[in-house]
Parts: sequence; C-alpha cells; structure tokens
Amino acid sequence: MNQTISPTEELKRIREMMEASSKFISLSGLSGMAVGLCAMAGALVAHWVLLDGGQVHYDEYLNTLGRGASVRWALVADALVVLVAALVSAWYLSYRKARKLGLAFWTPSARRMVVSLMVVLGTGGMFCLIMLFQGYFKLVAASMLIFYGLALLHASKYSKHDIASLAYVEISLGLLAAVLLNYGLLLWTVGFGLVHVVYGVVMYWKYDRVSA
Amino acid sequence: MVNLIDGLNKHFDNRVRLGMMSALMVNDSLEFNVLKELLGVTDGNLASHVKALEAAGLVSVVKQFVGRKPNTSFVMTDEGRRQFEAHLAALEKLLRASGGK
Repeated sequence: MNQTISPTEELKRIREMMEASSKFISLSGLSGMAVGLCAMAGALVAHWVLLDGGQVHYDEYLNTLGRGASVRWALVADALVVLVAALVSAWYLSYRKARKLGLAFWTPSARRMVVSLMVVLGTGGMFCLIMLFQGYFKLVAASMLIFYGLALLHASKYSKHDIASLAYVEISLGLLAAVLLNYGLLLWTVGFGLVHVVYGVVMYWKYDRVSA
Repeated sequence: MVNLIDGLNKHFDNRVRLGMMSALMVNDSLEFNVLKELLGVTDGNLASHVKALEAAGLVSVVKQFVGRKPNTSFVMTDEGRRQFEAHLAALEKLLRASGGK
C-alpha cells in the first residue's frame, strides 16, 4: 500500500477519483443506439399505421378530421410506449456496462444527472401535453426536441462533455422543426432516432470498445 | 515512509486515503457504501483509513438514520481542504522542478 508512486501518477489518481465520484460515466454507447432504434420504430408506427403512410397529416388537419381525436390519442400512446422502451433499454444497457467495469451504477452523480435531466424533461413533457390539450399540434415535435436538448445540456455537467454536443444538435433540430412545420415528424425521427444511433456508435467506438 | 519533499503530506501517501480526499474535494458529502465501491476496498479497510483521517481532523463523520437504517457519511473539514490543497500545490511544484509533465 505504501509503494512510492510518482507525482504524475498521484495526480492522475486524484483526477480519476474526482471524475469518477462526480460524473456519471457508465452511460453506454449501446444505450444511445437502443434509444435511437426505439424512436425510429415509434416514428414508423406513427407514419405507416396511425397516419396511413402520410395520407393523414399529423399537424393542424387533425382538428378537422373525423377520426382526429382517436389518432391524436394513438399518437400520444405511441410516444409513451417509445419513451418507456427507450428509458428501460438505456437503463439496462448502462447498468450492464457498469457491472462489467465493476463500477457503482447508482452513484450520487448518476442521481444528480437523472434529477437535472428530469426537471427540464418533465417541464417539457407537461408543456407538450398542455399544447395537445389546447389544440396546438404544430409545435409539439419542435418543443420535444428543444426541451430534450436543454435537458441534456443541463445534465451534461454531471456526465461526459460529449453529451453537450448531442444537446446542441437536438436544440438546432428543434428550432428547425419549428420553422419547417410540415417536417416535424421527420425532424423528430432524425433528432430522436438517427442522431441517437450516430451518437451511440461514436460513443461506443470512443469509450466502450476499449473497455469491453 | 518519510517524505523528504517539503509540503507533501504523509496523510495522503496512501492510495485509499488519497482517493478518498480527492472524491471529497468535489462532493459535499459521500456515503460509506458509495465511497467503498468507488475505491474498491473492504469495509474494514475503509473504516481504518477513515479513522486515521478523522483523528487528524481532515474529515468528519456524520451518522444519521435514514428511516430505521443507520447511515454513515463523510465530509471534508476546512482543515482537510486546506491540507489537501497544500498537498496538490506541493505536487505541482515537484513536477515543475523535475521538468516532468
């Protein structure tokens, strides 16, 4: 225990401990991919099953369509299934990664990250539901992307910095979706689906491959 | 065991104690079990190092009940923070003197 360690190694050890105790580093690249695939599957269901392959426009037309209300609730249910599937798979894969590396999973920093994520995400979720109740569908896809991006940005200080870049991409896509209203579902799919898969692959190559 | 270099603190010449102080520098307080997992040590090992740091007045132990379960956590004292910062400064000085990186 009292082996003489060089000052360089000692500083390295100090840095590692500071990071491991204050940052949530178990988030796995695979979970990014899984979240993305869930979102894409959900978007496909929304597009082909619920909106008849684009025959039904999901935006303001829903108000006047006879089956508008049922489509609306089917879309909400679809979104909720995607949310639960994404959360469960991200949780499970990160848990597995922590186990494999012999790290503690539910650390104080993991707790802080989840709380800071949920505060913003919960606000955004409620805001989107309120918009649905008020009949403003146009900006729901954009709002989801923007709030998700802000939530990630807020939570990124408790995890790897890379999450901040993911946050900026989501916020930009959200703003774009607010401008290009008819591409809302498409941009939503890109933001929650494609971007997550790409992010997951990059993270997997950057961190997990070496440690796995 | 004896550190010839001025400013280096012998309380921190052990990996477990060094890791514990590093973790406490960036966290307001840490629970026994969290610290144990973080450092990868046994209960007894951690307890003996805690005792040493507590005796030196560098950390303080907070015992409380969460529901009916006893819960032990640690916080760094002001003196602990001062000494750890001095230790870091000494390490830096040493590195600069040796020209290493």
